[in-house]
Amino acid sequence: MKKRILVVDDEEGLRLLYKEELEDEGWDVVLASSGEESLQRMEESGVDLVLLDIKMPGMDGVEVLRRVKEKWKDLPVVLCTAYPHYKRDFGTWASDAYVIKSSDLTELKQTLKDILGKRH
Amino acid sequence: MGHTQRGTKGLPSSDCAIIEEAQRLTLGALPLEGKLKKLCALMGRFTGFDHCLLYLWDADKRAFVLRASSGGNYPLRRNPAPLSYGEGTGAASMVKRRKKPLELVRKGQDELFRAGRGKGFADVGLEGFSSAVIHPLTAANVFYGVIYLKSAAIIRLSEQRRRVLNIVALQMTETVKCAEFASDIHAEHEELVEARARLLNSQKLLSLGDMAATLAHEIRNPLLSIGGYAARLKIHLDGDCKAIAYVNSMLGGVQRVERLMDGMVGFLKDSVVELRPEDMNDIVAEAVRVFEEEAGERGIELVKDLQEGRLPVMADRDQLKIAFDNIIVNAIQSMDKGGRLSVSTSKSGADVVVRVADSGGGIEPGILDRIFNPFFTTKKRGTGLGLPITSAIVARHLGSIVVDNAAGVGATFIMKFKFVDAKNAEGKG
Ligand SMILES: Nc1ncnc2c1ncn2[C@@H]1O[C@H](COP(=O)(O)OP(=O)(O)OP(=O)(O)O)[C@@H](O)[C@H]1O
Ligand SMILES: [Mg+2]
Repeated sequence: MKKRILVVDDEEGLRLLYKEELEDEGWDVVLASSGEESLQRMEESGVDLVLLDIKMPGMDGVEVLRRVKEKWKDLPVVLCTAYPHYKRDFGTWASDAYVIKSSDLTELKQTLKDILGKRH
Repeated sequence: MGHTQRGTKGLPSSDCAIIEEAQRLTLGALPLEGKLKKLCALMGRFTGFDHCLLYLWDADKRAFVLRASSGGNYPLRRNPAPLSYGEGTGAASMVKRRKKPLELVRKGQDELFRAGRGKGFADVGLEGFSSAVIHPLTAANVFYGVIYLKSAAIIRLSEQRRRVLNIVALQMTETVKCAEFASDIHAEHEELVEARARLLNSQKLLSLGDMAATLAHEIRNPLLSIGGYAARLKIHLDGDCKAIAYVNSMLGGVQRVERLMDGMVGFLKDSVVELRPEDMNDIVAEAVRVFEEEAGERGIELVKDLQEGRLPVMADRDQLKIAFDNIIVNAIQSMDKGGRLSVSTSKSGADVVVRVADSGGGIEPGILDRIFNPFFTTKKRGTGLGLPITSAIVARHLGSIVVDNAAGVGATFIMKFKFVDAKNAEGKG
């Protein structure tokens, strides 16, 4: 069965970009434009991985991460951000991976493959 | 005291007044040009000469240069005063040689003032005058220049006047000396101001890091959009389509800005150090290991020479690795035709020393003082942030970094950190 990835980003252009790129890799992609919406999506439909932007208006990525891990301990979350210092942020320790936003998506895709591959 | 009051040096009060005036001018707040002009006027006035010129000796140009003058409204004047006298010419040079004043007075219709002929010097500035005094300006055996007093009428100085003239000339010398001194101080002051600006600039750098972080988000998202879609666009273009070149150039541009952002954010990312007890040998070995393969491929002999045993330091391992990385990358980049990269650690007194030496021809001496400036680069694809980041990291470890540059041979970057013995480290860690 196709793995399903939930992409959470407040910018529409980026959501679509991720969607196309990840679908090209053979994954199913669901989108959410805010932290609140993303939690709703997770409730509705089972997802295999969450790709999460940290900086969003309203509920930010770190908060979403906390709630996700509270509820679905084993659901992998990959954090995506523009600046690397979140690496040190205590709130991010629980994420499964961390990628810096870059127009070259190879690293991101590889990270997703690694994580999804591990879980059969 | 009798009717004719006697002041300092036994001079009559009128002469004292002149000296006092000279003193007042010397110590006053006038700008230099004004002071010199007024002193010239004063000299002309009390000696009765209608023209007074100040020539200063310029040791670099080896010439006397006209600096101030007063008077000059005499009918006899045919030639304008020379702006300068070269070394060895004019009465000025003679006075410089003799270190004594020279007094010249026309006798009858003689040719004395026809360019001073017959007196062992030629001086067009004296042509047509009837009397002249050329007085040296000296202090503590240093020669500063001469005063030219010139007159259309015949004037003979009394012994008294000579003494006063001498004193006023001393005041003039003092004025010139002070001005020189002040300009030295001014130059030093400028240097200090500049050094301070450099310091402030390095503090600005840190806030630049903060700004970069804020900007990073705003810039990276649109970049991701541009770059990401450009890459997708490329997939949809035919292989031989001209537009592929356009897209490639878009991608190249985007990647360049992204690299710049990476570098800038480095400042912020590393602004908090987490110091723990570490072994410097271990950190250096790890930093070097990453490059072993690359060095081999590029025909670079990698020599690792680590001090025996442990080298305990308090360090943020990740950050120090970034610092060493930057230096090693530079070294490797400098040896595009192969060479030798040697990385060593040692203990020297209370310091742990890390050296990275390359044989890449070194740094051009003209740019040496700029290599640590942010954005300074000589590389086509460099950001110029490697060394500034490294030096910021080293500074946060309270260490130091210097470069020992052998132009034409190679560069050695030397970093020093505090050695921390195990007991201390335990306490802090
Ligand atoms: N080992 C070296 N040999 C010769 N020149 C050097 C060496 N290290 C630094 N430089 C000079 O110092 C400049 C600044 O170095 P720095 O690491 O700050 O930036 P960069 O290497 O140009 O860019 P980046 O680090 O982003 O690749 C270099 O462009 C180069 O001219
Ligand atoms: Mg560099």
